[in-house]
Amino acid sequence: MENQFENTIQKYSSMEDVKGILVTDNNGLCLGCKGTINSNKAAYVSSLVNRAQSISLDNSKPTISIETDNTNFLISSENEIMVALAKQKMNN
Amino acid sequence: MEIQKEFDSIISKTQGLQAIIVSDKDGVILIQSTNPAFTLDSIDSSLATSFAVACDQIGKIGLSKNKSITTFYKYHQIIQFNYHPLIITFIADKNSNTGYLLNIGAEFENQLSTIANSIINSE
Repeated sequence: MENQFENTIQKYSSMEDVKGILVTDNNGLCLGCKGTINSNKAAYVSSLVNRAQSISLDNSKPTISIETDNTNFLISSENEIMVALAKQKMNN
Repeated sequence: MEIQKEFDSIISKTQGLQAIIVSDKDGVILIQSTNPAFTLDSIDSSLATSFAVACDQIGKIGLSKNKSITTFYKYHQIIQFNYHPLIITFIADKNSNTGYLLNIGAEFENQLSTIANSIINSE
């Protein structure tokens, strides 16, 4: 099971333009990470999802997109597991 | 004291964090900061001493020195850091962000190194 999890992280982190991936639980404890996102960021990812959920009208799980100068962060959650993906921003 | 002010500031800024206690392995409290709405009556010095024993035991399983132990209870979570000879204890609500508390606890090691060194030298 752990191999499958690690293979999935490896698969997504090796995709084109992906700079890093992080998987965390609801408590902000890092389950796995690869690339430029380190495990310390797990706390912020879970906090962002919980805050975003608190402003949602029907308490549904949010998908968050954060855009910086060079990177797009996509954060999604399912069953108390949150995934953050850092993607190189397109220059066009 | 600067560090006391910093602890108070961390407690006021961190959601769900109720108390920060710095003690030695015998349970003698050196620095303590608590949320005004939280009382420490039910927590005695055995909290730190039992952590010190747990650290010793966990060290025997061969995964090198134990750094921290997080314990979840029905309403609270307790995170304890082993910065020999100091023990730092965070008491927080069960829904607090454990990862964030572990991050800020890890930053204390350098800040408390002066106190830790003076205790080691006096032993």
